[in-house]
Amino acid sequence: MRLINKSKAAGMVAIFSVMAIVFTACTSSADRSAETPGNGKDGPTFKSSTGGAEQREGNEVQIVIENFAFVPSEITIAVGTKITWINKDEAPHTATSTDKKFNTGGLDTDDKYSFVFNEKGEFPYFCALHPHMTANITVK
Amino acid sequence: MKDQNKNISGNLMRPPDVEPKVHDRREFLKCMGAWAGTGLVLTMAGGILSSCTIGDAVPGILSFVQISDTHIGFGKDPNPKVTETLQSLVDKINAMPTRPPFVLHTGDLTHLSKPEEFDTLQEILKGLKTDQIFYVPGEHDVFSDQGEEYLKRFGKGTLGKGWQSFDHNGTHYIGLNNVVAASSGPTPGSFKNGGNEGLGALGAEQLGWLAKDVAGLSASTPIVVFTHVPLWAVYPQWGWGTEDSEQALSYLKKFGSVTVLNGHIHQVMQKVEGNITFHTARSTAYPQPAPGAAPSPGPMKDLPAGQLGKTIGITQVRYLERDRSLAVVDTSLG
Repeated sequence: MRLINKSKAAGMVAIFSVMAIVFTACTSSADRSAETPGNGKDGPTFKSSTGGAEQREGNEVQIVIENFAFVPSEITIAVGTKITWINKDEAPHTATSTDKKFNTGGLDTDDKYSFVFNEKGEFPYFCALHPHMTANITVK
Repeated sequence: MKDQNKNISGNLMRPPDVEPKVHDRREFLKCMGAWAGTGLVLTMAGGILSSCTIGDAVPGILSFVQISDTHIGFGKDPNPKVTETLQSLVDKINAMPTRPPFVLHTGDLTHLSKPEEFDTLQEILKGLKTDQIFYVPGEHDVFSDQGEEYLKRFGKGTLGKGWQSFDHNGTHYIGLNNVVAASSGPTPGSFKNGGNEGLGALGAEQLGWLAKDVAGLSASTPIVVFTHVPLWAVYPQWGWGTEDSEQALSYLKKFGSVTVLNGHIHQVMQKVEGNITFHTARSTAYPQPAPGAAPSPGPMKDLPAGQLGKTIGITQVRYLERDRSLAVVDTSLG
C-alpha cells in the first residue's frame, strides 16, 4: 500500500507535466496506438453522444508504468482524451479495465498502447499480470 | 498463517510408524550456511529441516523433476537466451542416471502467452526424456485470454481451468491453478478499497473440487501439491501469496505429509508449517530479487558476469530409502 501512495504523489507531478505537453502538442495526434500489436481487437468502443470527441481530438495524456505502478494512478480527463500507456519496466504489464472496457494486452518494455475515452465515467483498471497494480481514470 | 520457523516440526513423506531422529540446531545452521554451492538438499530428517550442498552424488532415488518459470519469449538482461538455458537444463535432466518418470512444470511457460512462445517451449520439452509432463499455468500464460490458448495446448486430462490430480507410487499429486481467478482482476466494487490485494487465487469452484478430491484419501497418503504462486504469504506486497490458500490447506491438514511445490518468485525458498512443507523453485530463465530487496519484483538485470548460471536451475524430488523420506534437491545450471 505504501508503494501505491508514493505513486499517487508522483502521479500528481506527472499530471501537471503531462497536461503542459498536451496543450502545446495537441495538433500532432498521430495514432500511436497503431504501433501496438493487438490494438485492433480493443480499439475505441465509445461513441460520444455529444460529438465532443471531434472537438477535443488531440488531447493526449501519457501514463507511465514503472516500478510496478501506474503513474499517475489516479487521473481526471476530459471526454475525447487519448490516454497512452507506456511500459518503462523490465517486466511486461497490462492496463486492463476492471469492467472490460479496454485492455492494452501485454506491453513489453517500451511498448505503448493508446485508447480514446469518449464516454464519461469511472474507469478502474489493473495489470492482469500483477493484479496488485491498480489505477483509475475519471472522464468528465 | 503463523510463521513457525522457530518450531519446525514438519514430517515430509514419512510414514507414521517411523520414529523421528533429532538433529541439533547447530548442525542445521551449518548446513544452511552452505547454500551458495551448486546444489541444495532439503530433507525432512526427524522433524528438523536440514540442507547441505551436494556434489555430483545426489542421494536417493529420483522420484520426479520440477521445472518452472521458463518464460520463453523473454529476451533481455540478465538472460537474452532463455531457450538456450532451458535447453541446457533439459540436457542436464536427460543426463541424470535415472530417467524421471514424469516432470512437473509449475507455470510461466511463456513470457507473453504468444502462440510462437508456446510452440518453442513445446518443441524444447519434446526432447525431455520422461514419460509425461504435467503443467499448471502461471499468470504469464493466461493474462491475455484467461488461459484459452494454454488450455487448448495443455488442458487435456485436466478439469475446470486446468486443475488436476493423479496418483503415482502411492503418492497423490494435485496440480492447482492459482492464476486465472486472480488475473480477472479486483472484485467489482472493491476497487477503491483495495479489496483484492493482487494475490494469486484459487476460486470457489477449484476449492470445491479440491475438497472432494482429497475427501476419500487416507491420512497416511503422501500428498504433493504443485502450483504456480506460493500457497503461503511470501511477500503479499508483491502479490507473492494466494488469497484463499488457507482454505485449500485446511483440506490437507489431516494428511501426515504434504509437500507444496511452486514457482513464480524465481528463487529457492522454503517453509515448514506443521505437516506441510512449502518449496519454491528457481526459474530456468532469470532470477528475481529477494522479497523487498528491490523497488519491484522485476528481473535482476544487473547480475555480475558469470553469475546467471548460479541463479537459475531445476528441482529434483528424490526418495531417500534410508529414512523413507523425500528430499527436495535444487540444482543450478552452473
